[in-house]
Parts: sequence; structure tokens; C-alpha cells
Amino acid sequence: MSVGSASLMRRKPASLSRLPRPGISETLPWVLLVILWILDTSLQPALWSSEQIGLTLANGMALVLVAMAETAVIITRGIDLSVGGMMAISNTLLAREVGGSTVSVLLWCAIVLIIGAAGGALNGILIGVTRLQPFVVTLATWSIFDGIALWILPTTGGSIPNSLITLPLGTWLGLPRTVWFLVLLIAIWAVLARTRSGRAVYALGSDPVAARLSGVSRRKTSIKVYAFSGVCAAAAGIFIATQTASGSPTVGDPFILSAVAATVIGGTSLFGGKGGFAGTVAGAFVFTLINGVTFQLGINSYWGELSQGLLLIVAVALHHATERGARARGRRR
Amino acid sequence: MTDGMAIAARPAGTGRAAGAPALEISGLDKRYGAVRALAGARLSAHAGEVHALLGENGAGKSTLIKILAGAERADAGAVLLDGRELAPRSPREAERAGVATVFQELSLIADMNVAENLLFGREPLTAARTIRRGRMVATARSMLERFDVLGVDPRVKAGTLAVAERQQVEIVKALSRDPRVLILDEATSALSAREQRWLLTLASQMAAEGKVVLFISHRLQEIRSLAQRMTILQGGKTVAEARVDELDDEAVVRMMLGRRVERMFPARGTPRDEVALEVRNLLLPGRREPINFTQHRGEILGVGGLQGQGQRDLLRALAGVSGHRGEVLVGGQPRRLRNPRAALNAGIALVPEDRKGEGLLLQRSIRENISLPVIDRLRTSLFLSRRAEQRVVDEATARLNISQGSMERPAGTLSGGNQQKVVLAKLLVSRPEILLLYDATRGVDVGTKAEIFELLHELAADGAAALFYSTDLQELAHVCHRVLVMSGGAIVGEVTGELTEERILRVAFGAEERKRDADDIATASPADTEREAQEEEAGA
Repeated sequence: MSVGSASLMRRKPASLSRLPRPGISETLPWVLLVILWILDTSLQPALWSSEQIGLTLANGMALVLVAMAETAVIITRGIDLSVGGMMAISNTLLAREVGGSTVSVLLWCAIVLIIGAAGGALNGILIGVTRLQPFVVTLATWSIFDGIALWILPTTGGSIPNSLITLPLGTWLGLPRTVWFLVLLIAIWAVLARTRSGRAVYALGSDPVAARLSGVSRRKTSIKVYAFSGVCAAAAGIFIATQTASGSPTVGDPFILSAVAATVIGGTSLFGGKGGFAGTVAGAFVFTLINGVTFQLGINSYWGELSQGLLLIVAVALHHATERGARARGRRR
Repeated sequence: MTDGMAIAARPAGTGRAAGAPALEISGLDKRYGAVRALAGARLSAHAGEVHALLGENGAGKSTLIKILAGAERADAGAVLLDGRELAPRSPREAERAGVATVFQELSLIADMNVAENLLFGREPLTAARTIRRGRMVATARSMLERFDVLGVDPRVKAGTLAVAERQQVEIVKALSRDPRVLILDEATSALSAREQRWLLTLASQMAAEGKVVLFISHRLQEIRSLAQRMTILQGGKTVAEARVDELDDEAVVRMMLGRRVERMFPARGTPRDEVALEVRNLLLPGRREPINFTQHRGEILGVGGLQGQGQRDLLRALAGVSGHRGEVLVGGQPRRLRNPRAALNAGIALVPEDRKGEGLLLQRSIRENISLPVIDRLRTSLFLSRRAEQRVVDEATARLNISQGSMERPAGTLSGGNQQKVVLAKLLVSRPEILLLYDATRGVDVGTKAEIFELLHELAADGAAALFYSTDLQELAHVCHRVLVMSGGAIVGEVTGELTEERILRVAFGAEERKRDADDIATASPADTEREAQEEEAGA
């Protein structure tokens, strides 16, 4: 039965045509961002200055941080609603306890970030060990964290030293400090995504069974990713303190679903395994800018939220369409 | 990165099995709730041996493998590897202990590329503990080359590979870890004939290097040509440990089933004169050559050819999954098969390849799965009539001998063979006139296979027609009345009269040869192809 079977197998490497190309999915949020930015600055040319750009970035930075947390968690097919509560804990604790000295500022920032990691790890343990649904677990811890924040600081108050408030302002090497901060965040993500733990996060979200058979520990990966989420949320709490110059126990809640929206607009799939922080950054600013644009256009502010909703649907539909296109292309031989 | 790529093409050793066994399993017990999957199973395999593990679906093979692979833990019993206890708590621990498994459910991550999958968890790192991507692709490429897998680019996402390619990557992933024990769980079932030979060669090489190869397959022929010894499980117990030449096929099957099966392939009936299905100028997505054929009632029409020649597209088009251009006549009536519902209404039902993803709702009960296609008929007023539903379910299951107790169990808890029976039961309730089977016997045990064939012939006798695609030539030759051979999305030949595996294969290979030699001659009439095939046969 050796009917030329050897020659028959001299087939072309069919897989060459299936090489992944940088998809529209990755560039889409950036295209949207550029369009909105141009619209925004053309409506009000005064925005086109280094100072104003720094300010825009500063206004969006807390959302970027919370969305960074959400992106990592969503990639594992999870969700973290407790980021709002964690942000409030970090914000109120800092406002109540931080003194004026540099040492004290550094110390309390560190403490707050560690608390973020611990609270996040608690989520991770509950999810990874007991196999409870991330939605339910973090819904519960959100409430718990909010309660703790209320206990720390029942009403808006406390004080933030000037050294911290002015930190995000000003420039460094000719660029706004917030630009550098954003670059730092992107670099942190890029490095983490290239570690083995980073791969495990993507693997777990992409295919939990295959990931386990390939040696991924669900427990360890969940703990790591939710701890990371907690740290990001705590950092967002610090950042928002520099902007409001005080602490508030309800500061975090508006950010939770906005962060999910920013993540989804940025191309991260709620089904896990796909996406990344670069898209999320664009998504977060698209989400904040659209409000500015409707304001500039002189439209009633009610339309701001409405346009955010429309934007979300359009972005998700576009991502879905491009993904389907890519899959169809991959299947064809 | 020298670890993990130690298999060299050394000349085959003696493959002798002497002294104490390298892998020794005794008294292995495992329960899942009320079901006892393993009840004191034992197995001993020597170094340098390919050891076959046989058993009906649900006999405990998968459970035993999962325990060795660290995916499950045993309730009782001992596993010794080279005299040391082996009780891995996770797949990673099993891997460190030297057990590598090629899983039936593939362990590749679809969104990652081949290189990332192959080197998962042991990626080359920089000083900063980040992954060196460029290096990874090069390493993966040399791994694929070392194991002779050509035509798979390591930069391609695993999800875009064909099933057979994915299986090959999976095998390379396991082999490259240089395991002490290699477990091949149904690893050949997704492969075409050539790739099967590739794997069997690798497996005997591994054994020749003094490793233990545990080989699980439903194909006795394969086991006989590859394995030296075998262990047969039945109902969670070991019922035989023997050299492969000590038991003949009938004895093996008898021990697996614990009862006698009359015959694997039941006698074929005679097709009727009425035409059941007529396909005129059907164009498959992305193909240019039209497909034409006619099928009679009571006829089981085989679809053969090398893997991936459009057989899947043809069946999916007829099932209304992918849409089609061209005419399809069912019982003389032209039909437009826009979607699966339209196909079902036309009397066409598909038994899909991926029973878990496409055939069943795994978390819902057997009852709900079976009654789903006819749910509209079971409504009395606003609610479903539970009694009417029960009648439909009973009727379908009685015919199929589904042996898993309660109909309220989630379909996902059944063994592979029983799941496939539920898929069939589900299709039977809608009384299809044309049944499309796409590799419906893949990974199904001998006993269930025989039952599926039996059922197919019964349906044919009642006047239904079946379009039957299988990767197993033996099945095509023994189940079908006639076999169409496909290549490049077109029907290039037809085998009629007395069907043999060899004749089908010859037409398939003949078609491929021609395709390569003369690209300009795109089509060949079926009659030509067959005549040529017969001439070739006569000349050989």
C-alpha cells in the first residue's frame, strides 16, 4: 500500500497563510481615540498644549489604573467588582493617616498598596480555592471593603499633603509627568505579560481545562491576578487622593463599571484569553473623552452617558465583527 | 534548553521486557459519587514495552490515565514507577515525575501559538525572568523538526490548526519532555493514515529507548502491530493481562464487553429504488468544482478520501450549517438549507464530529437533550407535557440501549460512547429521512460502535438514507453500500460493488497523485477514476 505515499505528503506548509497579523482589534481603540482627540481639540484648540494634555491624562489616570486591574482579571475570565471598595479603603486610609513628611507619605503609600495586595489575594483565595464565582465573591468583598472604608472615614474629609497633590502636576524632561507615569504602567504590563505567570493568566482565561493539563495552577494564578488587581485599585485610590485633596468612602464605586467598559472597548474579551493593557489605555481615554466632546458640542450633559453607552455597543460590535472575520480567514485553506 | 528534547532517532533496540516491571499499578480504586470508576484495577508494564490498555468506554481507562497524569487522585491503591511511589497531585507534578500524557481532550490553548504551547511552563527566560520570544520560536521549530512534523509553523495560533495537526503538536509537546512513561490516550483517532504511521514509529522508538509506552486505542489492528502486552479493563477491574498474541480479536472483544457480541458489522440490506437525496451542482464554501450525486432510500453512502478534502464542508452544507449554492432535492422536492432548522424540517439530521461542543448540552439532563429537537411538538398549552416528553425519550433510548441509569443525569457525566448514543437518540426523535454522520464513531468503544452500525442498518431498512464519513477505512468498507471519494472539495471517484479498504484507498491516492501531476485537468468523471483504480489494482 505504498502507492506513492511519500510523494503525496510533500504538501505546502498550509499554515503559513494562517500567521496572526496585527488585527484591527488592537488598533481599533486607538483609532477611536485619535478621532475623538482631534474632535476634542478642534472644538477647543486651547486643549492642544502640553499642560492640557497632562491634565487630560491626570483626569483619566485613576480610571486607567482601575481598568488595568480589570483587564488582568477579565483575561482570566473573571471580574473584580471589589476594586471600588479597595479604592475607597486606600483613599480614606491615606487621607486620615498620612502626615506631611516625605517619609510618612512614602510609608503610607506602601502600606496602602500592601493592603491592596492582601485584599486582592483574599479574593483570589476565595475564587481559586473554593471555586466560587468571581462575580459573587467580589460583589461580597466590594461591600465589605466599602464598609471598612466607611469605618475608616465616615464622611469626606482628611487631608492630603501638598507634596502628594503636586506630584502628578508639572513636567519631567519636557513632558507632563502623567505621560511618564502612563509609559511606566504600560512598561510594567509589558514585562508582566512576558513572564511565565503572565502566560498562565492568558492560558487560564483562554482554556481552563487545557491550561490545567499544561500545568497551570488555578489557585496560584487566581491569587496572583486578584492581588495585582487589588494593588492597582489601591494605586487608583492614591491617585484620586492627589486630585481631590481629601478622602471619601464612596470615591471608588463610579469607577467599577467604567473600568469594565474601558477594558471591553479596548478589545479585551469578557470570555477571557484575549486582550491587553495597551487597548485598555485607549479604551479608558475614549470613554472619558466622549464626555468632553459632547460637552464641547454644547449638547446637554445627559447625552454624555448616553453616548458612552452607544460607544460601548459600537466598539463591542466592531471587535466581534473583526474577530469573526479573522476566524473565517484562519479556517480557510 | 537541553531538557525536553532527548529523543534521537537511535536504531531500534531490543524492546525486551525483563526483570521487575517499571510501572506497577495495583488495587486502584476511584469513585465518583455513586459510580465506581475503578475497582481494584492493576497493570504492570516493563521498560522498553508498548503496553496496550483496552476496555469499553466507561471501563475505567480514562480514570486510570487521569490518575497517572495527576488530573485525578485515587481513593486507594498504589502506583509504583521504578520502585518509587507515584501519586501526583497535579499534572505538573506528574510531569516532573516523568509521566507525559497525550490527552484525548487536547491540552493546547487555542489563543496561543504553537511555540507558546509547546514550551508552556518551560519557556526560555531572560535574566529578568521574562520570556525570550524569538528564541522560543526557534526552539519550537527545531522540536517540530526533530519529531518530523513538517508543515506546522510555530508562529501560528493553535486554534487555527486542523484537528490532526493539533494532535501532532500535542504529541510533540508530550514527547519533548523526555518522559519515562508516555501515555497515548486515543492519540491516533484524530490522525490520518500517514500520521498514524508517524506516531506508531515514534512510539516504538520510545519503547526501544527503554521507556514505558502506555497505548490506549480502540483499533485492535493497531494494537497488534505496535504493542507487546496488553491489559484489559472491564467495569473498573482488570480482567486480563496478556501478550498481544495470546488472545485473538474475538477473545479480546469478549473480555472487554464481558459478553459476546455477535458481529461488529451487521449484514447490509438492499437500497430501494426511490431517490432520497439528489445533489445538483452544489458548491462548497471556497471551492469551485460543483458536487453532484444521487442517493437512494435505504442506502448508506460512504464519503471517503484523505482527511480534509471537503468531506466536513459537504456534510455541514447539507445540514444547513454553512449554507450552500446549488440544488438539493430531498425526496424529489427542492429544498433550501439555509440553517440547521431548515435542514431538520427537510428531514436531514447531522451527527457532528464534536459531540461535546455541537451535539449536546453537557450540563442539561439526558432527557432534555433528547427531547430538544421536538420540543415544539410536546407543548400542550403553555407548558411542556412531561408525559409526552417521557414517551419520546423512552422510545428513543429503548432503541439505543443507553445504559446509564437515570435520564436526569447531566449528559456531560456520561462516557464518550454513551454521549454519542444520546446524540443519536436526540436525532432519532425527529425521524430524519437523511442522516449525516461525521466521524460519529471516533473515540467510541467497540461495543457501542457495533450498536451504532446496527442502528444505522435498521434505519436504512426503514427507508432512511445515511451519508457516512469516517476516518476509519474498515468502517467505510464494511458499513456502506457505496463510497464517494473526495479530493480538493470535489467528488473525484466512486467505489461500488465489493468494497475493500484497499480499493477505497487506491482511489483516494490515485486522485491525489493526479491532482499533483496534472493541475490543469481539474475534474475526472467518477467512472474514469474507478476504472483507473481498478487498472492500477490489476497491475499491482
